[in-house]
Amino acid sequence: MRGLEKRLREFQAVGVRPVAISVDPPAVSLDLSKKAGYTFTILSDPDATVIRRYHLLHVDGGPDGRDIARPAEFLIDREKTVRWANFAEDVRVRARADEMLAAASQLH
Amino acid sequence: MAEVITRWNSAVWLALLLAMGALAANFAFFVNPPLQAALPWLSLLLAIAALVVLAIGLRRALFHGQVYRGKVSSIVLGVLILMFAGASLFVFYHARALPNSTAAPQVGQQAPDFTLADSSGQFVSLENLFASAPNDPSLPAPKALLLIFYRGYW
Repeated sequence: MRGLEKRLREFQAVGVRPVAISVDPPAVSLDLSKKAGYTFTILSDPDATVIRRYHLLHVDGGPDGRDIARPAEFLIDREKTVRWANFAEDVRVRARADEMLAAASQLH
Repeated sequence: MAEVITRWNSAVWLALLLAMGALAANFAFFVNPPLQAALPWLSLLLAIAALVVLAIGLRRALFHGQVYRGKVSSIVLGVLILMFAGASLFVFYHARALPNSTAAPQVGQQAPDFTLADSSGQFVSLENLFASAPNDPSLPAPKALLLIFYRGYW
């Protein structure tokens, strides 16, 4: 997400608003934003309700055995149609900012 | 009488180098390199190579001790190599042990609605997110959202 923050203006220039979602409570996200200097919106789904709704639940995936989100990225247009999606196969290999920007630039 | 010449057991040291490379590949993610998708496979390859070369080295040390020197050092290094390669294989397996995503929204499908709290505790819906650009009201409303689901626990 560091790459995302660095190129936030480029996302905004193509009309795309990045929003991050995890099970972390708001206070933890706020702390992360402060420490890392993130200015994009971070949402909290502590009960994984939305994560479940998106079928992204990683049961037992958290360090303390909590259910968390499997990494995934979606580009959603105003009609709420998914225009691009990426599902990580390795937790360490995420969609790169340039990849997401390329997908974002192709929206009309 | 011929003098006994013992040889350096290079295989064990090569295995150590390979195992360290396997481990190092797992730390390369922190710099977010362009070819990071290849890193897990590089690590796996190096770990397996380390184990194969180690097997050769240990065979030399244990069964051809009259030719190769360093029986004890080979065993000590062997333990180290097993730990490095083992850690790499463990991480490789666990980093990829993700549930499949076939039921998740795919391209062309509708994204489910939601309302969640942001980091200030304020609840926002998909509609709210589309309504304005964050931190800058002068910018036009976004035409798309990039939803990034991440594991958390930072």
